Amino acid sequence: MTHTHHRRLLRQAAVLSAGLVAGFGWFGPASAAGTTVKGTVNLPAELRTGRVFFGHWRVENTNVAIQHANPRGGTVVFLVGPPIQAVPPKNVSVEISGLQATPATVVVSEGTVVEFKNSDKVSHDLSTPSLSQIMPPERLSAGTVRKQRFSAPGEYLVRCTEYPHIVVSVIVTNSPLFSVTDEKGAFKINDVPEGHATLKVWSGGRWVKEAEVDVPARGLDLTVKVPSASGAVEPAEPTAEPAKENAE
Amino acid sequence: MFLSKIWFILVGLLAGVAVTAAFVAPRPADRHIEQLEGQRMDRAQYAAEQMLKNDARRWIDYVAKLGIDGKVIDALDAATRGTSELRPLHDSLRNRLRELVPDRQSIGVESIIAVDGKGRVVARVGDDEGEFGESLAGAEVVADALRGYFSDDVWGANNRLRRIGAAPVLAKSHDRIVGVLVVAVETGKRLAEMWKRNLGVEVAIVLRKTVLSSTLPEALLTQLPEVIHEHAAEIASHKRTRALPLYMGNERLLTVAAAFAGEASEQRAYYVLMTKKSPESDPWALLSSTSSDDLKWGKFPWLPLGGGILGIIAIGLILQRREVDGPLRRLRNEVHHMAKQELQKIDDTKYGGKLGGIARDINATVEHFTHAPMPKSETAKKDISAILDPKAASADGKSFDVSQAAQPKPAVLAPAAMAASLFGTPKAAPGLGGGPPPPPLSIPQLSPVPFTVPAPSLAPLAPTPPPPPAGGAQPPVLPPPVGRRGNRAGPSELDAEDHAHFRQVFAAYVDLRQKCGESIAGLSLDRFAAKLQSNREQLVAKHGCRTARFTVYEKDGKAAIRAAPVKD
Repeated sequence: MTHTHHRRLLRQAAVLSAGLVAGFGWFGPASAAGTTVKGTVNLPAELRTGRVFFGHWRVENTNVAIQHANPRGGTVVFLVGPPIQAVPPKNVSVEISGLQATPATVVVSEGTVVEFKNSDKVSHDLSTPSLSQIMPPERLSAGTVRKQRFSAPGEYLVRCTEYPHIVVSVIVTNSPLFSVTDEKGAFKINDVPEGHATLKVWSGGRWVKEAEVDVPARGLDLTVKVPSASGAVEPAEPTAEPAKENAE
Repeated sequence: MFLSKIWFILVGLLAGVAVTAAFVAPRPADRHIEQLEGQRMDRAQYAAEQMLKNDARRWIDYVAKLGIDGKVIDALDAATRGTSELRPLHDSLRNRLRELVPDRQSIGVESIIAVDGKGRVVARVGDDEGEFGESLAGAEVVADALRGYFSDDVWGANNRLRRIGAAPVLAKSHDRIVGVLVVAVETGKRLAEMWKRNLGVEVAIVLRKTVLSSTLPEALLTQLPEVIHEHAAEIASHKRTRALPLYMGNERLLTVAAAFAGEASEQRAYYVLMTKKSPESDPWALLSSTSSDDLKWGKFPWLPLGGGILGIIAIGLILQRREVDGPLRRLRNEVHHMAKQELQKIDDTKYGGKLGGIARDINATVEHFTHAPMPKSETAKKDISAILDPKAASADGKSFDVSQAAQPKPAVLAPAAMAASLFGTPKAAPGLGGGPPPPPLSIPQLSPVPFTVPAPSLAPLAPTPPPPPAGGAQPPVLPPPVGRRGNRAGPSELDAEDHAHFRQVFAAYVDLRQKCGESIAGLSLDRFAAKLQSNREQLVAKHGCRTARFTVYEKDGKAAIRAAPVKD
């Protein structure tokens, strides 16, 4: 009997412990890591064209449907303001191949070294033209790598002098609260602390949207509409999903 | 001199206005010309931009037509699907492109690139013909073509500027894109020369800090990239600069710079249209730019100009002659007459301004050297008779006739009446036989101007024996002189000097009357001397002079006597 009693006590203790563990496992991490902010960024036509420099003509062919431009990871959503734990720096690599840089935008911590690798058969002259003291012009021959450390927070545009459409956006921040949008403009930022924050959108080498948001405990689902720089009003796109919160 | 001075001032003002007009008048015209030149440059830039646009479309259509060639489609389709090795495809496609574009260099095509559906270069003609396999998918114009667009661009890589046209190559089934054809067109000397021919302006093409090509000597254009770079913001906002004056060596150019489209706009690639600016419009620059043709008889108003200049000179000379030369000549003549003792003094009333001053100075100088007073100025020119009694003065105001006084008178006149008769005009004086008595005289106030007597008037004072009277008339008998009496003669006393003087005057007077055919009957030295004495006393009383001297002269064919006070 004693043995049976002991086994019952042990079973109860195990259940209690499991319940406690389960309870902490459900509530504990959620309160410590924060909630999730997700949504979609609707870019204006000028940022969806996939082209920065235009010639005199751009005419559609009449036989094959025009394909969407490859965003190449050029749009990033940030949440600024909530308390964060700084992310340690780690090296990031950008490859230039086929006269395009991949990824086109990198978000790094202070002190991060970015490696620019030239996989083309032609040379590239990379620099930060607006901040030449940060990254002076230097010829990057085919097959070579240039390492550049970014020590101060900020936004840097690394351009190729010979091929100006090659632009790499380097955003230096210690915050982990950012997300690169996918082809459809969707983004998701995890571990966001509850409270007030500023949402900022980087696209096309510049900040294109900034909005104040209150992040509740249950998380946030946003539709971020980026206005056209020219002020043009775009027609609304039909959607089957229920209306969400807008970050206007 | 007044009118001459006014004329010279007017001519000076006219010259000043002319010079001012010469400097100022061209300015509005200069601004207008500059505005017109600026508008012309604007139109030229617009035309150049339209030509670039038309050219871009032409090259897009050109490669689009190449892209419908069956062999090209087959090769690119095979490369995209990977059904064949790339090298044989490269060779066959390159040869096919050479066949399709035999005149590549003559039409200005630098290269034609065939890219498969994955963005890989399959074949090239022109530059780097042997290279293939690398990806151009990242080039915007290629990426656009792979998505289905016909488009153009301008590349500025490797210090060369090339206009790019790209067209997608559709499969024979027209349901998918199998590749892209890209044409690169020379953008340099050929384009600049063509624009110069068609637009009539000089052209330069600039990439970054280098003038790639120009229709002007590039040595003159070393500063051009820097000047354009200074206006980069204006070009970015307005697509071009306004018409800029640019000095290159001795050339003065008006320039308009605009950026090329596409990627080259980021690479500071500009085309610059230039025209020689019209010369500066200041008079010297205008003169230097004139030609002999401008001065031809029919084009230049020689007659009005010459007539105007001659008129101005003539008016100046006339005024000069009237106001300077003429009076100077008259003054000189009068001085000559004075030198010949034909004139006592210069009539300074005839001269104005400085010449009048000179005449008065001459008169004063003569007086100084002769030590004899004489009327100095026109205001004091009246002789004694006019001073003592202007009403009784003779017509010229300088002489008096003593014939009446010398004639026997029935009664003795009062001093005033005697002076009136003494200094009265000969016409007014009655004959010796009597007549109405002269009106009573009033003695006016004397002018403060001192008397002057010209030297010639004093010369003929030497005593000469009177000739025998004509007609049996007895010549007057001169009484012997009385003794001298001091320096100043009393009112009724005559000293020896006065007697001598009166005798001389009397003798000269009688002599002159005889010469003039006048009667000397009844002339008496005593009464003559009494008259002179009386007159002298009046002069002495009036002017405070020491004595007076009398001169005999001929006036209107008759003998007359002039009195002049002597101060010392």
